[in-house]
Parts: sequence; structure tokens; C-alpha cells
Amino acid sequence: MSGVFHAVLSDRGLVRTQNEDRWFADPGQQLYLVTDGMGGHLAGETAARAVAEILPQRLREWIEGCEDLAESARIEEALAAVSDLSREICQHSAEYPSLAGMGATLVLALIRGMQALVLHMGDSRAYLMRQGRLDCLTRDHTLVQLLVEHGALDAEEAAGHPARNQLTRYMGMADPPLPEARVVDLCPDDRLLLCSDGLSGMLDDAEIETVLRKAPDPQAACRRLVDAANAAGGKDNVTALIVVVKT
Amino acid sequence: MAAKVILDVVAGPVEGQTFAFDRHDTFLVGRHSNCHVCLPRDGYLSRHHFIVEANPPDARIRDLGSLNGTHVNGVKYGGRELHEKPEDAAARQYPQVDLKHGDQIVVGSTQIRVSIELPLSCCQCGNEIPESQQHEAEWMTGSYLCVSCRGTLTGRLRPVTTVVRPRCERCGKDVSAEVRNGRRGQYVCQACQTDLMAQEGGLRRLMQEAAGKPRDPAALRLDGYEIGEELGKGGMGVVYRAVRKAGGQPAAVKIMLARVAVSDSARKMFLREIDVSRQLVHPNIVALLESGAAGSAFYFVMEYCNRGSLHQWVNQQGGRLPLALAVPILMQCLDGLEHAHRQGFVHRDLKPQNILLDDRGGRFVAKVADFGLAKSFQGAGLSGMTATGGHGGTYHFMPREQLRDFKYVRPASDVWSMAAAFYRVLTGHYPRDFPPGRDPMEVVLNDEPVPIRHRDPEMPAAVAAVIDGALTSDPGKRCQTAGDLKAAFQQAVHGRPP
Repeated sequence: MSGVFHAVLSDRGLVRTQNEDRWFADPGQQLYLVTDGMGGHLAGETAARAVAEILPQRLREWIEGCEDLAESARIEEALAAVSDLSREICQHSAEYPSLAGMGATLVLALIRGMQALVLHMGDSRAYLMRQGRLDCLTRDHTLVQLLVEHGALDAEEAAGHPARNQLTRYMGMADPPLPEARVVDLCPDDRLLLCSDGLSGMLDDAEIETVLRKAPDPQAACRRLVDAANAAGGKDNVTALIVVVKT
Repeated sequence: MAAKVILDVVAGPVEGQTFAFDRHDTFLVGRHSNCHVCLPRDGYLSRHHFIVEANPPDARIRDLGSLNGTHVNGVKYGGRELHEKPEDAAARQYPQVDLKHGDQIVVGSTQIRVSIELPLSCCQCGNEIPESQQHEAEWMTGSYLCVSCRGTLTGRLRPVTTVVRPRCERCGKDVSAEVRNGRRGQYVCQACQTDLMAQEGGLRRLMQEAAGKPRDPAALRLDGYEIGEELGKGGMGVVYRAVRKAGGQPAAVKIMLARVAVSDSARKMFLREIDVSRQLVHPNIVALLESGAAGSAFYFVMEYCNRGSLHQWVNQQGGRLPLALAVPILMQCLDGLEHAHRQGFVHRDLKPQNILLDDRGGRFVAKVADFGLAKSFQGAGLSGMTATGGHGGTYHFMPREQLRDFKYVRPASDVWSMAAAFYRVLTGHYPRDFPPGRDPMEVVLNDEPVPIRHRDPEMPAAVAAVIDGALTSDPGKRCQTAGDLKAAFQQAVHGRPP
């Protein structure tokens, strides 16, 4: 019996009229993802569906043959599959006027044994909660993050920057996609949190850590995270997917 | 029935077309009008992109020194460097690739499936087996006996009971019913082919379900104008040729779709900003005639320039222009830009795609288009969450300060972008190198432009100094206006002040 289980909650928030977040979880394959659509209602929802429905299908064969996550050639294959789908979404965006400009973020985790492969493009995040401490596993692909990394902005300036939500990478981007991947070693009782920026944009890391520390049950934790994001303003759709690794 | 080579266009602008060859013939694909599949507006294709030689049942394909190469079953053949001329690349010995039944050829958005139909022929006498006898003609795996030869051989030969049957490379199923006489090599059964296509088709079905039919140019309507063919598309909009119904004057109509739900205030703000730019009247600025909105779609009726963009024209000339051709175009652009800067306007998105050319009236005229359009669209919050507003490649011509400081809107940024545009026109290269796998935003933030004489050692030193100076990363250390840059160029090119 697998020692990995998950819980997920996705909420429209208090401001948006539709939920353009999507998620996917396959306990059998231990594949989990969260995606946040953008580009206008129909376009955003369609892009998010494309990521949540098509990408797992494309990765199915790859996943079945994937035992060693650290093998670089295997990681390159996964990145290529993500890039290919991104390009196809971009092509369809050009072909259908009502889908013009569609795009979506992606954060994906695949677990094999006591390792996790985390792939992402955009500002949906992956966190690791271990022994009461929260670490962010991904860096946002946003203009502001880039400027902070290059010392052009400090954290305070970044928080109020007019471009703080502007993405530099996302599924469906016109430029060559550059998804990022990393392999993380896991320990028993580790929890992975995959979330859209509707969570990380409303709560800072310390607040998220506090919720997770106080709510070891993943279902309860998802509920509390979403409630906290809404209590902070709920300005965006919010999705929290927690994966618990027992053995 | 003769053997046939059949090329089905299964995706792309001419999807649904089929080309069948039952004798020795050739099949040319490209942008040129003499191609069998002619796609003049497909920027991915070269003028003569690839050729298929069909000699049924055989066929082979050869890339003709195209810029972007030709993909066969996912493998790229051909392609050339930006600075190479097509004839230089074509002179190279690109391999000819034999095509087989089921192969897929891909160039840009166009996909072509290869089918090869073979007549059944008797393995004994070599005669073609009529269709009416084919069902009983199978003898041994992959071979057939006509009725006449079967009658002769019966009694002397017995079919071998243990045979090796051809199998699908993907699922291992017996495909002897599908594989024709004489076909060799790997084969994927029809069911697996369908399954593979379904995987690719899943995304398309989702898109069609979501959005209905693809774009239909005939469905576009704008009061007072007849909308014609698509002239080009960019990150934010599509431009169509149009004719004004009253008077018959040609025009260009740009349609931009907002990527977010558009509030009345956002719509009004954006249109107000654009309306102000109609004050820009100059022979080297593309005139904006009308603008408006319907829902989330914005339209802009502009002066029509019959030679397209500088980007398109330079590509047609092989990817770069000699100095003698480029300088007059640059000077005209700087004239237009100087006028705009004096009126207090900054373009903020200069690139060869936004410089249009017109040669009516006996003169070749360059005009700067889309003043502030993209950035105003972005500034009004209409472009969604992308850093570059969804522009493909705009960062190539972006000065560093535009990325670092959103509020920086000064003519000196236009100076950098204009110099970058002409660096590209003169050398075929962007000022910065953007290696694959490296985030282009990081390149803009970190990397300095390559001195132009590193790209072209023949560039006159005085001209190179002006261009390199205009590409200085510190905006305070470069020409501050288009007028300053124009004066510097005139001094460098003609050796005299304006």
C-alpha cells in the first residue's frame, strides 16, 4: 500500500466570478499538479483545462517508465513534454480569436519512493513542510522576482511594484518555454504543498507555515489555508493541494 | 491500379488539400507563388522550403536551404544560419530522406501525411492482380499469387504453415492485412496510428469545444470598410488589409483582443490615450485614422503601407541590408520619431515589425507605426499578466531601463530601441545574444550588447561608434532624442553636420 496520500481544495475567492484554477491528482501514479489560467475568462479556463487534462496524458508513458527521478535524461524528457504542450497552447491561442492570449501557470510534483520531482512555470508554487518548517521549492517566474534577484528591487519595493503579477514564463507563452525542474529528497511525514498565487499572494510564508503546523491533517489544512486566503481579501482564485509522504 | 504517392495536408492553413502522384513528379512547398503549396503569409516558411520527388511507389524529400528546416517524423533536416543566403545553404549537401507510408512532414503549422498505395502484383508472374481477385490472392506473408499461377503451382507447392508475419512496431499486432506487397521497413498499425493521432487531437478537441470554430476572416465586419486578407499578426493583434467603402482608399485594420474582462473605465482610458496619438501627423509616421472598441475587441484603422514591414522586407532581401539601403530608411524613421519626441510622445515598442514601408508615389517611404499602442494597452491592464504583454521577441529591442523601471518613459529608450532595430537590419543579429535555455529577461538585465563590428568587421568605424553609443545601457550616456541620433548618424555617414 502506498504511503502517499493527498487532499486538495480549490475556491473561487471573494472577488473573481469564475474559478480558473485547475488541479490534477493521481494517487496511483503519484502525480499531482496545480495550474492557474489567465487571459480572460474563456481563455484562462481553457488553458488551465489543457494543462490539467492533457499534460497528465502526455506524461503517462514517461511516468510508467520513470523509476529514478535523478536521471537527467528522464528529467529532460519531462521538460520537453511540458515545453511541447506550452507551444501547442500558444498555437491554438493564435488560431481561435476567443482564446487569444490564453496561458496558464504550472506546478507539478511526481513522487517516486522518497524523492519528488517538481516542475514549474509561472508563479504557482511548491512548498516542502518538514518538521514544522516551511521551505519554498520554486522561484516565481515573474518580472518582479527577476528584478529582486538582480538587486534592482528590495522585498518592500517588490510588494508594491506595479508589475508584481507579471509573469515571465507560463504555459502558452509566445517565446520558447523554459520550465524548471528540481528533484527533492523526502523524509517520512514530509508534506508537499502545491498552490496557486491566490494563496501565496494573500498569505506570506510565515502565515502558511503556521497553518500547516497547527493542522497536520491535510484536508483540514487545505480548508484553513483557503479560509485564511479569503479572510485576507480573497482577491484571486485559490487552490491548495497537499501531499503527505508517510513512507 | 497504379502505385500512388499521396500527400494529405492534415493541419495548417491549407488543411484538407490532397496531392496524389501516380507518375514521376515533384512537389514544392514554400512562400513563393510557384510552389504547389504556396503559403505567402507563413513566416516560418522560406520562399522555396522543401521539395518532394515522387516516383511511385517511392518518394523522397529534400530541404532547400530553408531558414527553419523541415521536420520528418520529428527529425529536423536542413535549416540555415540567419546570416546565410538561401542559395549558400541550398548548395550544401542536405540529405535526401526517403519517405514511407505513414510519415509526417511538418513545417511550421503545416503538417503533411504521406500515404503510399501499392497495386498488388503476383509474386510468380509479376502481373497486377485485379481488385476482384485480391481477397483470395494472398499466398504467403506479404506475397500474392494470381489465379492463373495459383492453379499452376497447386500440387507442386503447399503454403508454409509457419510464417513470419509483419507486426506493428508499437503494439506487436499482426499487420499482414494492412501491409501491402513489397512494403519494407517498420510499420505502425492503423489502430496505433489512430491512437497516436488521438493523443495529439485531444488538445485540439478541447480547444474546439471551448472556442468553437477557428478564426474565419470572412466573419470580420467593420462599418464603412471591406475587410480583406490578413497582413500579419503580432503578440497582441492581427492586421488586415481593408478598403474604405466610401472612396475606395486602402487601409489597414488592426484588431486587438483584450486578455481580461474589459471595464468601461479601462476601455475609455485606453481609447482616450490612443486618440491623443492621432495628433501625430508626419510623413514618416503611420497615420491613425479611426479607433474604437466592441466588447473586449479594439480596432484601429491605419494608413496602409503597401510594402509591409521592414522586418518582412529585410527577410525577403536575405536577412540584412547593406548600409547604403538601410541609412535612408533609418533617417526617415528618425525624422518621424524626432517629430513625435518634440510633441512629447514616446513610442516604447520600436522594432523592425513596427516600421512600415510604402512605395506609392514613386518614392520609397518608411513610416513608424503603433505609437505607444502596445504599452498603452498594457498600461490599461488589458494585456493580462505577461511581462512582455505577450509580445513574442519584443525583449530583443528592449533597453534595460524599460525592464527595471516601469515608470521610465523617455525618448532615450526609443533611441536604444531604434539603434537595436537597425543593428538587426544591418547585421542580421540582435544586439544581445539570446542562447537557447537562457531566460531572455535575464539576458536583458545582465548582458551588454555585442559591439557591432564584432558582427560585421566591414562596418565603417564612425557608423559603428554611433550605433554602439546609442546602445549604451546607461540611458544618461546615450543620445537623448531621435534628433540627436539623427545628427550623429548624418555626421558619421556624410562626414558633415546636418
